[in-house]
Amino acid sequence: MPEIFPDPTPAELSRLRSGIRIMAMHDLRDSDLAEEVAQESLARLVQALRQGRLQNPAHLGAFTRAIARHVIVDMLRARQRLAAAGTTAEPASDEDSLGAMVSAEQAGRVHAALEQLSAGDRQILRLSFFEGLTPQQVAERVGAPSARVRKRKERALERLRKVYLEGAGHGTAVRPTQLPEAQAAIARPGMSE
Amino acid sequence: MRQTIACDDFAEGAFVERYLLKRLSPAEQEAFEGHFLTCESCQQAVELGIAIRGALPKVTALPARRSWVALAGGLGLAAAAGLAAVLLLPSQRPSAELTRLGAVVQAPLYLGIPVRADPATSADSLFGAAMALYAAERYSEAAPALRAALRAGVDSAPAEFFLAASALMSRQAEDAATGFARVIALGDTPYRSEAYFYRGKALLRLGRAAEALADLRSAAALEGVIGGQARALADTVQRVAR
Repeated sequence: MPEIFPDPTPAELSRLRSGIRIMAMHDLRDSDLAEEVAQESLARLVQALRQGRLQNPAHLGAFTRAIARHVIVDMLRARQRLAAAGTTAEPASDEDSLGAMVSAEQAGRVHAALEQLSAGDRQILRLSFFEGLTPQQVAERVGAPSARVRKRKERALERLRKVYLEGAGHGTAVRPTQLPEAQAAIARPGMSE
Repeated sequence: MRQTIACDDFAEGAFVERYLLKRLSPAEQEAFEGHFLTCESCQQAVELGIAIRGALPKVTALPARRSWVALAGGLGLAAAAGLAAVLLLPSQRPSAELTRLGAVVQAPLYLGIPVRADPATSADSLFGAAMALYAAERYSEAAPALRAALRAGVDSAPAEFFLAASALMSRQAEDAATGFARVIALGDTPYRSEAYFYRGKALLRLGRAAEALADLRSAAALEGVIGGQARALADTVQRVAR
């Protein structure tokens, strides 16, 4: 008899949902589809948990990821079919669609905070976020000690994180509607599969 | 705020940044996604990364010096607006237009500590002293100091790169082109892509448009600010040299 773990708490569900949305936006670049992926994945997750298919609660993240990945692949296939039939619009550019995850207010605050950073700190962020360099590689690129680059980057990110989270009760962009929907997903575990 | 060892490891490996650039290997992506699904801190980091990627290219205000982006944009617009009708053949002598496109107002940025340890004995310190001159925009003095650091055995990639940059800023385009070629010849160093871009600039100053274009195309493959500038400049050069 498999061990059945309790349903995730609302806070855990909220966190999982935000994470799934990030995954889905990363791959699909579409807010509506990302929302669908999150709902469907959570429903499947709850169903799987109740069937005792999670063997180790420490692996909840990996387990959820596997479910979400299946849902995303299904969505991608559906979109390809629609595209082949000529019934879907051209997706927006990467930055436009991912930018939908950040509110205009948050984007404005981050922009203002970036302007306050030194040119050097911004260069570190450019090399990190546009060229994907690790702190060590940034240090090699700019000819500075890696400890110094690491510290400057951490300090800059911490400043930006603070302004990004201003006015929010929590960190991730958990939308007010998410929690009730997640709880509803628990209430109707048979909706998928 | 980092909460776990895993978060620190992901930060050290620039996982957030590479995730947004879609540059994680499948195994890395699996590990990172499996982690952030239950980690609020890393979810915040990804969202903040999205905000930074959206906002950073629009930030042009620099405290004391002209922005790179503004410079490239200005050159591109000037070229497009004022020079589009100019027809040049590759065999002609260097045109004022191409030379102007090779201008570099702000030197490649150096963020290191100017001087450290004993300047009389350490190659690193010789490099640091040279870079203090470079940061002070005393390029003609920085160049011999960098050569001394190289002779003393300092890491060659950064020293060669900033030596070539010093030549470029001193309007010694031939020396700059040769210097950046040495950096490129070092292979896969963090300076390679920028070296292509700046050698392209130096070659433009020498009126060697075809070679400059090839270098700019190499740099254009790079994402980010330099890649964007290289693409814009390459397009402009192509129009002007047509």
